[in-house]
Order: sequence, then structure tokens, then C-alpha cells
Amino acid sequence: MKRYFRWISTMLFLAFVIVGALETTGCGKASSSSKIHLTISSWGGINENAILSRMIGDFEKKHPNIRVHLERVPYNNYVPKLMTDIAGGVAPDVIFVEVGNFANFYYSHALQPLNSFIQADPNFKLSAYYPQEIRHFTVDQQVYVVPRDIAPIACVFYNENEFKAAHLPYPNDNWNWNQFLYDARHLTKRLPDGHTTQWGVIDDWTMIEPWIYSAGCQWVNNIEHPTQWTLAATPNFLTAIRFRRNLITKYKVMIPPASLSAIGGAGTSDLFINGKVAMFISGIWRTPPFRHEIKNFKWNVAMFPKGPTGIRAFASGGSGYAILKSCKHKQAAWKLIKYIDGVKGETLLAQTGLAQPAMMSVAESKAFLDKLPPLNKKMLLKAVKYAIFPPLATNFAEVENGLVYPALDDVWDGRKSVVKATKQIRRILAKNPPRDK
Amino acid sequence: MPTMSTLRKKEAVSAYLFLSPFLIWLVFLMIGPILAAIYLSFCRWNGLSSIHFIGLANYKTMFGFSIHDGHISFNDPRFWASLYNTFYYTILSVPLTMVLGVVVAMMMDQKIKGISFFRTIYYLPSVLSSGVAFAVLWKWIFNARSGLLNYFISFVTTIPIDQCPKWLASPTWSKPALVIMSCWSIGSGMIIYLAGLQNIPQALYEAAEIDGASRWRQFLTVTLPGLSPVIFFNLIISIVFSFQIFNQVYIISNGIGGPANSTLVMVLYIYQKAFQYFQLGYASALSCVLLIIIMVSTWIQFKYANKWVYYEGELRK
Repeated sequence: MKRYFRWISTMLFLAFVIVGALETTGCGKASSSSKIHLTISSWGGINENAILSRMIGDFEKKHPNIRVHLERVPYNNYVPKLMTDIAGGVAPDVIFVEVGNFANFYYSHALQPLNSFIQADPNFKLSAYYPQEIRHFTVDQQVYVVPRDIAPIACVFYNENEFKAAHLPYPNDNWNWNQFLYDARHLTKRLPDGHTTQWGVIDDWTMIEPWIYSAGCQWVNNIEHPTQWTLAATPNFLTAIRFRRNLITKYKVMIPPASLSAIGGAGTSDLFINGKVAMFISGIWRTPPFRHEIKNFKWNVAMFPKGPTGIRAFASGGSGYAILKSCKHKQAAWKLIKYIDGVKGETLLAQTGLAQPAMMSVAESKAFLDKLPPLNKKMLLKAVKYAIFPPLATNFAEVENGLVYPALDDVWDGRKSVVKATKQIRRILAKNPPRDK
Repeated sequence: MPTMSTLRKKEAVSAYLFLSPFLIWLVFLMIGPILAAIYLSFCRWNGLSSIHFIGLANYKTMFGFSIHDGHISFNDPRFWASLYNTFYYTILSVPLTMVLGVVVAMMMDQKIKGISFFRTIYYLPSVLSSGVAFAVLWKWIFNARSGLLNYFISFVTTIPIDQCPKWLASPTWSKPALVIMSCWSIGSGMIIYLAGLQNIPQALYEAAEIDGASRWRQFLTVTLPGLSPVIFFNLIISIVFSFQIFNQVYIISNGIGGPANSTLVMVLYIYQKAFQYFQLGYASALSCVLLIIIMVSTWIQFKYANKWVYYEGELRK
């Protein structure tokens, strides 16, 4: 009996060690010394990854000596997974970078400068991409990311049926805050007991950027080389925050946070889809679900309104491909990026309606400006010049989401005055200057 | 014929071989990372580039403060907020879930027809308790305007829904909401209490009854002491788990810990610092502080356990 025990325990031990060893050495993956193996890591939804898979398949046919492994990670887990891979010495070769986390990758010296590849490649034209986004991904004249898409958060999606019912003209791209407020008030429906059955407006998440930018505020003194936060330095900040707060507490045209925290688990975009909100502030990435799910009304999009002094500005997202310095086959990685981010890849992306391609010719083509809603998508071509990218500071995300936004949480439902919150934000910003480490 | 010591040696080898999967896991996946985290807590590291030793700088940032015009200004107010929120949750949720667990276990300890069905019903939520689904469900229940809870409160008290607590949208009510949510998973504790209750010898109750002890007296002098080892076990586990609350908070606050940092608990803050703000060194320092808090709390519980925990067959002076 004891002999059996010893035999079982030895087998158990060996199995554990062998499985562990296989896991750590990556055995089991087909390996061939004659071929170059690249790994590309991306977040993206099913449609985006289908495009990427198709492009990779085509790329492999054109380059039979290169094999590409696509690693798809959900958006929220993308950075944690990437950091773990890098720390574990199994980093991918090509990664997806967005404008918001570019500073962290750049200041970590993790990205390969692409200038030498660009200059040596007569078929690649950097000028084909939006210069604003190229500028964001360029530091000290070195380009680090080839942009895939640009995403000005400039879209006010609106329900055409509700505008008609309220006898309001559709918003044009020249409207301002006052006209926006007028429309929102006339689109809000209440029962005699005060219960709201339809709201005028909601934003995709609590967002202050379009308001503060169009009021004339800036997050920093210099976006490329920030040394000081300037967000709450002028009265324009008070104007912007008061306006958004008044939409909720004074005019009651925007859904208060108390209702938003848990509308049956649904997101804010569902409220627009279900006709509970007449206007929805977001980015163009909301188009595919809207096309798929909105059946009962017509909808379109207008550019975010101008501020009180006529300033037009809003934040912008966007993303692109970069090569990690640790990549052993940089030339092959460059070929891959150039191919998947070329005209064909950008056209396929544009046809989904999910994103505005970073390649200008494709953004201006019928692939993006198709006959499907929202028909006013062409406004995004103009919106690019008003788009403001995040400052190149490694602590921007923390200052924005961890410090400034929580200080404003109590403002939105009137529990804290705007002046008090502004003083608090000034103290916070003074104690946490922009960082480059 | 092998000697006794040879047999013992062979037994020991077998034992260690059986234990080896766990020991390897413990050393490489638990102790290793703990030691790495302790080292990293003295470093600046963003997870992407090289590690820089910075001594106690992370801890100085964490615990540092200055005084201006009589007001204390913390270097990292979110650390203190997360610490406060975690203690608030632990202090309220642990006793509440333990008392409810014991009460439900006593109810389930009846010899009535169909009791197994009720035991299953009470235990069922625990199976789902770490999942996303239950957090989403509670998000809906706590909706200030259309949630079930406020409808119930309004129906029972006739307070208009607009004046009911705003729960997850209010910095005042968001933490009590979390505590209420924690009651959802009393089933796992209940099962252990139930096993404990069934281990208390019936003879003790009979002796107490003969001596004229009331039901309440029996509960205090027989049930509770008999159940004390199980209560002690559950207390330690509950406190450790409540210090590590993450999933529920992540779901209900969309990973932010709002409103106004009111649901920012320690583990969520560690996650944010490490994986959203690229500060793995600082996140490691936060983890070490949490480790120390849990170790001290557990040590205190063990130190005072002999004053209230009774084991069967134990002799007391």
C-alpha cells in the first residue's frame, strides 16, 4: 500500500513539474527556425479583430517567411496584460497604443523610434495621416506610433424624430451652448407631477473636456512639454463647470448622477437607443451599435457646440501601432505595421463605421462617408482641427480620473459649490505637477 | 526488515512528495511574489522600464502630510480615503454577516421537512457572490430612482422616492450599500456554522435543560461556546476577505471608486496605481501596508482567542 502511495505521489510531483516547465518554456507552440515569428497585441472588439485577422492572413501570404500571432486582450485588461508580458520577458513585438497612454510608453523608453524605417521606405508616406495625430505621437522629431484612427469626442448624436416633434430645426455644426441648451430644454418631457419621461441630453460618461475646452481652458501650459496644470487657473473653468452642473440641477435636462449610477445595469448609450434621451455626447465609435439597434427613429450627428466666446474645441482619442524596443525582428514588424495600417486596412476599418481612419484619404473616401447613418459624419473631417490631445505627462490619467473628477462628483448634484470645488482642484493640481517619469 | 527510522523516512518522503505541488505553488507563486513586492515597494517602477531603488520614498509619500492654516494636508489623500473606506466596510460588514450567518444557521438547524431545500436556497447566493452578475444585479437594486430597494422603502415608509437614499450615487450611502451587498453571501459562513452547531453534543443541552436553563441561557452558555472555534475561523477568514474586497467595488463604481472616492478601497487603489497609472513600486508599497494590516489583525485575533474560544476536550485552569 505504501509503495502505491509513494508511486502516486512521485507521479503527482513529476506531472506538476513537467506541466510547469512546459508552461514557462512555452513548449507546445510550433516553432521553426527558418521563419520569423511576430506577436501583435491588440484590444478591439470582434469586428476590429476580424479585420486585423484578415489583414494578418493577407500579410502572411505576401510574406511566407513571417508568421504573425494575434493576441487579443479586452480593453480593460490590455495594459495590465502588456505590463505583465513585458515584465515576464515575453513582450509582444507590435503593440496598440492610444493617445492617452502614449506618454507612459514614451517616457519608459519602451517604444522603437520609427524614423529610420520611414525614411528608408519610399512606399510609406507619413503625410498621408492626420498631421495633428502624427504630431502627438512625435517627440523630439522622432515618430513612435503610426496612427490607425483619430477620435474627436465631438459627436452630439441626436434623435431626428424628437427634434421634429418639438418643432426644432436640426442642429447645425455652427450652433453654440445657448442653442444647445434651448434644444435640450425643449426636448425634455415631463409629466404634470414633475417626473421626467424623456431627457434632453446625456454624455457617454461624466465628461468635462468638451465644456472646459470650448470655454477656453487648457489642461496644461504646453501639451508636448507640460510643466504646469492651467486647468482651473481662469474663470472660464467656473463657467464650464457651472454650465454642465446647471444642465442637471437648474434646467434638469441632463440625467442626474443618482439615476445614472444604475439604470438597470444599462449604459448611457442604451438610453439614447431606447429613446429616453434625445441627444447623446460621445465619439464616432458608437455608430455600429446605433446602426444595429436603433429601429424606431432617425438619427444623425452634429459637432459639439461652440463655447460662450465662440471657441470650438474638444478632446480627442485615437490609437495606432508601435514596435517595442525589445522586438528582435524590427524590419519585419515595420512591414507588418505598414501593411495592416495601409489603405486596405484603413478602408476595412472605415466601412465598419467604428472609427475615423487616421489616413486622411480614406477618411474622406466613400468607405467612411457612406450613405448609412449618421449622414453628417463628414463633420468629423472638420472636427479634427479643433481636437485637443491629452498632455504628454505620465500622471495625466491619475490627475484627471483619480483627483480632478472625484473632486467634482459632489458638484453635479449640487452638494458642493463650483467655487469650493475649484479651490480644491487648484490645491490638488499645485501638489501634483505634470510628471515625465 | 526495515528499521522504524527507515519507515519514517520513507513516509516523510511520500508526505513531501504529496505536498510538493502545494509547496512549489507556495514558494514560487506566493512567497516569491510577496518577497518581490516587498523589494519593489522600495523602488520606482512603471512596469515598462528598469527598476530604480528609491529607499523609503514611496512610504514617505504614502504617510507624509503637511499642516497649512491648521488643516492637515496629506501627500496622498486617496491612500487615507482607501484605508478609511476599507476599515469602514470591514468593521460594519464582518459583524453583520457573522451575526446573520449564525442566526440563519440556527434556523437551518431545525429538524423539519424540506430543510435541505431551504439550506440550498440560502447557500445558493454564495456560489454567485464573487461574480459580475451579482454586482450588476445589486447595481439595479440600488438605483436611486428605479431600484427595488427604494421602491420598497418608499412603499413601507411612504417617503417619496426622491427623498430616499441615493445609495451608489451618494458618497454618504455608497459604503452602507456595499455593506448591505455583503449580506448576500452569508451562505458560505452559514454552512460552516451549521456544521459547528451539529457538532455540539445534545447531552449538553439536556443537562442545561435539567438545570433549568432557559433557551437564551442555553444559547449563551452552550451554543456560543460550542460554536466559538467555528466563529473564530469565520472571523479570521471574513476579516481577511473584507480587507481584500475588490470585485463588487470594481463593478459598481466602474473601476473608479466613486462617487468622490467613497468606494475607493485598498485593493482597488492598488489596482489603479499599478495598472491604470503605471506605478507598480507605489502599488507594491500599498500592498505591503495591506499585508501588515491583515497580519496584525490576525495576530491580535489569535492572541485573544484563548479568552473566548473553547475547544472540545480542552482543559482550562
